[in-house]
Amino acid sequence: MPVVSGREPARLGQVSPLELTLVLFVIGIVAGALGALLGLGGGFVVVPVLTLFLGVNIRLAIGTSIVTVIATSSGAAVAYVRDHMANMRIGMFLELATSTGAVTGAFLGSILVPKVLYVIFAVVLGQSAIAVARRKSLEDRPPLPADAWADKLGLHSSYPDAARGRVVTYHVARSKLALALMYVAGTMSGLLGIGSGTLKVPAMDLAMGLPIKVSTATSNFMIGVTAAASAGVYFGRGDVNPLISAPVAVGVLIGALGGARLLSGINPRRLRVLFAIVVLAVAIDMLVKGVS
Amino acid sequence: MKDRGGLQDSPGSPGAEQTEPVVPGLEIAVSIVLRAGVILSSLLIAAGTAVVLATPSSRSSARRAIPQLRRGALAPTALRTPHTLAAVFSGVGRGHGLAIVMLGLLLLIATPVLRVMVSVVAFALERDRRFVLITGAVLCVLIGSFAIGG
Repeated sequence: MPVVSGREPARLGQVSPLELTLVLFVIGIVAGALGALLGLGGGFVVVPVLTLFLGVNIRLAIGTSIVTVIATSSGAAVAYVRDHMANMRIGMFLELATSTGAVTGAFLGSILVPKVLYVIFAVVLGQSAIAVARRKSLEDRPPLPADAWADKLGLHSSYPDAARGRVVTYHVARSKLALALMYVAGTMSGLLGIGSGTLKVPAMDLAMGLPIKVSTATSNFMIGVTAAASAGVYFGRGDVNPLISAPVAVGVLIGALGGARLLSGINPRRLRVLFAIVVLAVAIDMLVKGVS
Repeated sequence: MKDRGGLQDSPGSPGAEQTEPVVPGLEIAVSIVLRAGVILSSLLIAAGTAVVLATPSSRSSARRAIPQLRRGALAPTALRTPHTLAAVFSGVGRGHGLAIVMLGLLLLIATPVLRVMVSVVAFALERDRRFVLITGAVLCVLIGSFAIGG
């Protein structure tokens, strides 16, 4: 019997490899569906569930998460790209900042102690939830003036809105501000193993003035490249563990494919409220864990 | 195009015409790369996991490793899973389940990198110099990070 602290149930000491695989597979399916639905990488489910409920080491949870984030992004992006929902030009432009940030974050992760990671995780998620909850609804917002970079790079586009039954045209604003915010988002992604869609979606939404469905889909599209920039570091460090990562990654993939299909029919207001509530709840949980 | 630039644009929306085409072949190529990478890697991961669970020796070493995965365990790397390219490939050659899983995970990590490579080529074919530079720079960051991390 492995020695564990008094208040920590020895869950991992009691399961067989088959049981562990099945449990993680189901967790992956749920995380993938939620992640794709909310425009997050799934990491915001994977890290808290693995650490808070299963008692997995946070570095292994982050290593698993960064891989599942790639699975979610790639799985969901197939559908978004096909449906012309993701703006690939915006995505590739902003990947300049997110990938550089991710490398920064992966290095920071090897320096910081786990308790600090919990607290940063909580703060990042809490901030995201508040930012999204406070935002005015899309229809009431005055359009932002398009900026020169966006004109030159041809970032403006349109997307088919299934809920409203027509093609919606949009213009892109404040590209430089978005680039700066994306560097921060990338750093958090590399540090915490999350897709940081919680930061990418609001950044595109608030800075660039993109419709939420476009920012959600484009965020999903970018997340894979952002995650790949830090995943190599985690892999080399041995923090991508096959016993945990394998079942979660395959589950996430299956869940993500289902979640992407659901997105085009969903009401943006409801999506935002759901997003805010879930993220805030997770943030409080992680904060308690980091401070105690 | 030089002398007549802009003459054919509709007066109301000068920008809209230029920005519409997002490299026609690119979206399809990206979809194919993402799908192929994801399917192949998940098959490898699933197959490797099946091998681990079906092989008595792998299963018992997995059973011993599981308690070490918990919070507070000091050295995750002590689990002795292959995490260098050489270790992964030699393990796959000997039919080790965990090495097959790790190969699948590596391919999954490489999928977005392949996607960026496809984008560089597609933008080069379109002669979109700005986006060749942008996607090329992203590719450099990705390859650089792999080099640093490994």
